[in-house]
Amino acid sequence: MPKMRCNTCAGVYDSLLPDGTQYYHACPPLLMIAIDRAGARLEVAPGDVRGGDITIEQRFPDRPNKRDENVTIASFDKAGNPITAPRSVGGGAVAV
Amino acid sequence: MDFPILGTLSAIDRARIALTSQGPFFLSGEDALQLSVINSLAGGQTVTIVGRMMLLDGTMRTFSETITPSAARTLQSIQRSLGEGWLLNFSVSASAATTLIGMTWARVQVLRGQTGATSLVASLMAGYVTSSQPIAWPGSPIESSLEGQGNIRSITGTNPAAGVEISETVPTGARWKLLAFSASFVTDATVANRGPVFFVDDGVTVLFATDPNILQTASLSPRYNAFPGGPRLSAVQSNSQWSLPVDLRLLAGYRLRTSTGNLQAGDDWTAPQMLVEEWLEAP
Repeated sequence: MPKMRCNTCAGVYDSLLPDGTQYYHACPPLLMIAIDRAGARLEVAPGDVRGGDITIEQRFPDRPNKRDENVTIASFDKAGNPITAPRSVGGGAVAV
Repeated sequence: MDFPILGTLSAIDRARIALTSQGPFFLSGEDALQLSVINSLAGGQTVTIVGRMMLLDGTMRTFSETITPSAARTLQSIQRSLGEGWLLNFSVSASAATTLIGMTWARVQVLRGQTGATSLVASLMAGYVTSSQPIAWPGSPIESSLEGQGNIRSITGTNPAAGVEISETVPTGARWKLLAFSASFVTDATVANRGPVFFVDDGVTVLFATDPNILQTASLSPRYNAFPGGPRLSAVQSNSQWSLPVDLRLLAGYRLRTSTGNLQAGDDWTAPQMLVEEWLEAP
């Protein structure tokens, strides 16, 4: 199996591991920081924190267009067995 | 056990034999044997049940059914009617020689009804199977998929792009016990103090976070390690340690991830290497 690259987060991974099991990639969340800037509460990316800002809390929202290959049960076949699908296709992935 | 010519017996006599039988399990014509499997091994794993049955006329019949489960750790089943008679014994095994305990779990039950609404009549056997370690009835116990030793796995995770954090998710249908976690962190030339923190969350809410009691400056590439009970430790011989709780169990959807204070665009985490013990979660 080729290595894959996620089109959303650019992470590279093997979809089949040496022990014979499948690997399910999921994009990492983002980091947003709630700050107090001169008395006003704002939520900013880490690179936008300025000197004098007071950090209130960190939040880890999902990345936009997140890919999550972990399966969910989408439906059942005639025998009652689950048909699975990725939780979120996101931007897809390509072989590298 | 002596079997008379069963076909010559009345229904009452047959029922009396069934009720007093120690080993054989009587199946009526409405009953079905159900084989259910959860599996994590890809590449065409199959699970086969082979057994023997004595019919009402006293003849012996062997049966064999095979299921090809997906590797997605979801429960899949087949049901087969074996006709009317006594179930004498059966054995269940996996086909792939690379199957390890913890990869393929099987359960055999008897259902009343074969299509539409069915009801569970009996659970006969359940447990992990391999190609050389079948489970059998009578004899094998009914074991939960969470019992015993799991599958020891060394997993290479996603190698994140520069400026992106590590995040690994416990797969659907799995339960992990985290034994070790390790990754290297390469800082670019930007002058800043990075603070690599290791988080465990349930997919949404942070359960705990741990840092190694040190800040990493520019142009360094130490390895960060975590193992249960290990101390929180700053770099010694280029190895820093996060501290993990002992016996840390993680359900599907839980995440192991980093969040690095002052992470720069050119900073780069390597792919993490995880040592876990894995069980399959049977619903």
